[in-house]
Amino acid sequence: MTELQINNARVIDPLNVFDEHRSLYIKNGKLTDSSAADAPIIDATGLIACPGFIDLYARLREPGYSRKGTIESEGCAAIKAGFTTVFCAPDTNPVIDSIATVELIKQKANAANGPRIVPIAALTAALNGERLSEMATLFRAGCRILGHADRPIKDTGVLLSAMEYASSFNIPIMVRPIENAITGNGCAHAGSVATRLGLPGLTVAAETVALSQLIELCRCTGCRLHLSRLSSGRAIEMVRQAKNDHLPVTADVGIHHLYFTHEQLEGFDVNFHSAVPFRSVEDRDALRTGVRDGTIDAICSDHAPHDKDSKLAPFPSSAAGLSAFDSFIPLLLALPDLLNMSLIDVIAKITSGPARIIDPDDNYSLTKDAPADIILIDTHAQARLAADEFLSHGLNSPLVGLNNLAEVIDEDVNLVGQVQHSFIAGNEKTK
Amino acid sequence: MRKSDPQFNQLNKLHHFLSIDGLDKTTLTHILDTAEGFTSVNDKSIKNVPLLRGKTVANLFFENSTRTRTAFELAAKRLSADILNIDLVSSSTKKGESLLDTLRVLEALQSDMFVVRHSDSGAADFIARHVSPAINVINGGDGQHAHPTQAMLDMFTIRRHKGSFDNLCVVIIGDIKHSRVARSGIAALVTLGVPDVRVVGPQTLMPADVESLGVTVYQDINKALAGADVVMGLRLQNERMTSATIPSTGEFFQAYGLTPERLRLAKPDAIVMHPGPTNRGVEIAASVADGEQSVILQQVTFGIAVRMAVMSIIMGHGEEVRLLEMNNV
Amino acid sequence: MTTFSSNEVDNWLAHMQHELSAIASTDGAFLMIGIRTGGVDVGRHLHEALELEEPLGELNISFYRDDFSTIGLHPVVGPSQVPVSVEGRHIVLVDDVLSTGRTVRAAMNEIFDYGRPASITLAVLVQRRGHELPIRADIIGHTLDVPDDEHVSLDANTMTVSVGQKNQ
Repeated sequence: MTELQINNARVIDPLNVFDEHRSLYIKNGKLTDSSAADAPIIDATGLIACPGFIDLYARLREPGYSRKGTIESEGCAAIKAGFTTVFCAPDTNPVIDSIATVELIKQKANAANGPRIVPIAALTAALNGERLSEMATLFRAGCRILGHADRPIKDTGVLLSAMEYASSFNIPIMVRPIENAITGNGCAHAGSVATRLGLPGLTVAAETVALSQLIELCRCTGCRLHLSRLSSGRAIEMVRQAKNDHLPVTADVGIHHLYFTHEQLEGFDVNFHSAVPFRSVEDRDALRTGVRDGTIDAICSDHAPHDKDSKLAPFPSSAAGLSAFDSFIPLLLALPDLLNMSLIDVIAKITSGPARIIDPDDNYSLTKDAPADIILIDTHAQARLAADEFLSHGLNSPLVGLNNLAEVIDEDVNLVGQVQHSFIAGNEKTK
Repeated sequence: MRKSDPQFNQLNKLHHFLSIDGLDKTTLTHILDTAEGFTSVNDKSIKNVPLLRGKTVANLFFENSTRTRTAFELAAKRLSADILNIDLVSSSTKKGESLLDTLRVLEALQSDMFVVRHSDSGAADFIARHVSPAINVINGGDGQHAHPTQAMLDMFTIRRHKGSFDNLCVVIIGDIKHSRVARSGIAALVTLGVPDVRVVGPQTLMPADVESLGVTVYQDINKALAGADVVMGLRLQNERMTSATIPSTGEFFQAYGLTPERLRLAKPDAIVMHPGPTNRGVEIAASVADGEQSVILQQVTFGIAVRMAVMSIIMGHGEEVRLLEMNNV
Repeated sequence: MTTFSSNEVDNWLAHMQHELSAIASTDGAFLMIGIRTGGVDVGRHLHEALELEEPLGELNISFYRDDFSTIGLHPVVGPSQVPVSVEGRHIVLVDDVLSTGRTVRAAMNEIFDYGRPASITLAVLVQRRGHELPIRADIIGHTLDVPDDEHVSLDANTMTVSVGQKNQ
């Protein structure tokens, strides 16, 4: 399909600070300013049109864990979530630390014909925290950011080297701050709920100690540091300070962490067993403030699909992680009210925000000649959250079958919204 | 959006005994009162009652414990139940069979009740939610979470000696962080209305936000013991030394051991308790463990009556549940 | 609702006491055991009137009932106390009202768990119809013929007996 016209949409384009009704024209995979008279027209009355969402962190489980999901199945679910670009986590099997694995993923992505998949390459070989990976080679092969998943880099010397090395090539790195020596076998936020339930706790210090280390290493290496999936109020304060100090630091938060707290763990609910713990109400509110005031640059899905059996175990032995794609749109659309932000500013957190984390000069927008990665959202349509409507292979989501979040938390949040169309380079992707 | 408490069945009767959390003062008192009724079973020449005759109780111990397992076994036998002791520490679970699969196999053995001990917090809850509704589940200790029968026998012991829970000062010494006995004990004390519950130990052995359990935290043993009516020691496990939470048992005893001198800071009629087995010279001086104020052995005896009470209370509605199941199909 | 006054009840107790004295003089000293709680209330009166030396035994039969799996444990009435050995003794088992007989069966099962008595004589304040087991009292204070849907109960404080509709 080479030409297309989209009429009557409310076009929201964060980078251009644009939020009005206008027409969009697509030709040869790019946005243009007019179209032929006989070009097919989509009447987007009542719909929002915006740049396709960019997910900075999702697990697609392939290669290596196809019992939990595949690039094809999770890609499908990502389209449902509005993502036209997905950065996939490096902790596959084998780990994304070689060209061979990068090529494998590219091939599968092409065959799946879903969203653009950008592999996050591992910072160290096999994610073992000992030897640096071939960063420059991987970067050139299309791994536009390198990271370390949820694995530790125990040797601070190696971390320093990795950041110096990455900095030489102006490669950004993505690290989740976690001090493994402190985490032990913790599986829940160290607070009143974990204490009462006897669950080994994850203290805030496990995040902030690692974070202060990372910030100081960023200060001395100049490496572009993206802090992945923060969880505590203290971490937000530290990032705010680092930004005040003009350090090249950015940060994101998983969408579920803007909603849930450790109170959801009552009754040992494994649906809320997440590697990034749901912390106190104060922490969650600080994350919300961070999104609002720009300390948090992006929101990611932190999508972690699991097979049913992995979650069918007592809490500490159950697999950690939530399936995020199928519920992403309704959770995102509820954020403007919840965070007291405008819709355009919220959408910035998953479009221009992530784009500029990867490349500060990126012009990810609906400007003329930009690639036509566009989604059309119906903000009033019923969200498709029934178990048999899930496109991800992972049904491990606390939102399965829900109409309103009040069934799970103390807030009245109606779950609505559906992506009606998703275009990547002007080609419509099936949902 | 309170989550449903799996301890109660659809008729709101106590069906499992998983944790003190979720039970109110009336329920706890009822268990203590029922246990009183069972204390005379030993006086008869036939030392049992026919209450659970024909029923099978399976001890599912995924974690080693001869004492607790024997205590439950004795209680079940005194109720005339048949007992199956299933050692799961070494068997199929090590071979990789999931907990759920193990449960299915055990259900096929047609027991009426499971007594479960497991190293994961929440394991008893998980088992209760995933077995057939006709099976009653008793938590014999799950990870660091709960050991509710221990808490009940501790409360029974306190009530026997002190009469009521009002106006008491109860002090718990030791590794609160890793102790399911402490968690269940604190929950029971608070629910039964004990106004002053104190925990004392080094910060490395205190869980996060421990005050939220309704206790006052002390790091100074002398201040903690002042005026105590009940002093409860906890077992200090060897792993604590290797995990760098305390330097040595010697130093622990120096700082927190219950010595005769320290015991004198408590009220003259204070009782000394311990869930056992005691580490003499670590948590508690030998002379205190064997002394007049120690009720440690009584705890063991009362444990039989208390466990008989718990088993009888939760099992007493089997027919109702079966009828419900038939009607619900 | 009919109520039998304490005077009438006293007459029944006197009748029972008379018959019990007769037994004592032929078989020797018997051991009296009351079933909680009504049987203990009746037993106390008889025990005092007969000036028995050995203490009154008290049975809590909750753990011997046959309705455990349908209605669970009954309200708690404290542990049984049988201070004297029953082995080889003549027992007088006392209850307030005998209707179905199940309570007495439970009590007898419990007594046998204490030891092997030489005999058991059943003494009840009121025997009514509605028996479901072949159990009849040997000594009866008063026989009442009331319909099955009516309830007979002893008020221990006033020592009166009332007959009324069973509240469902």
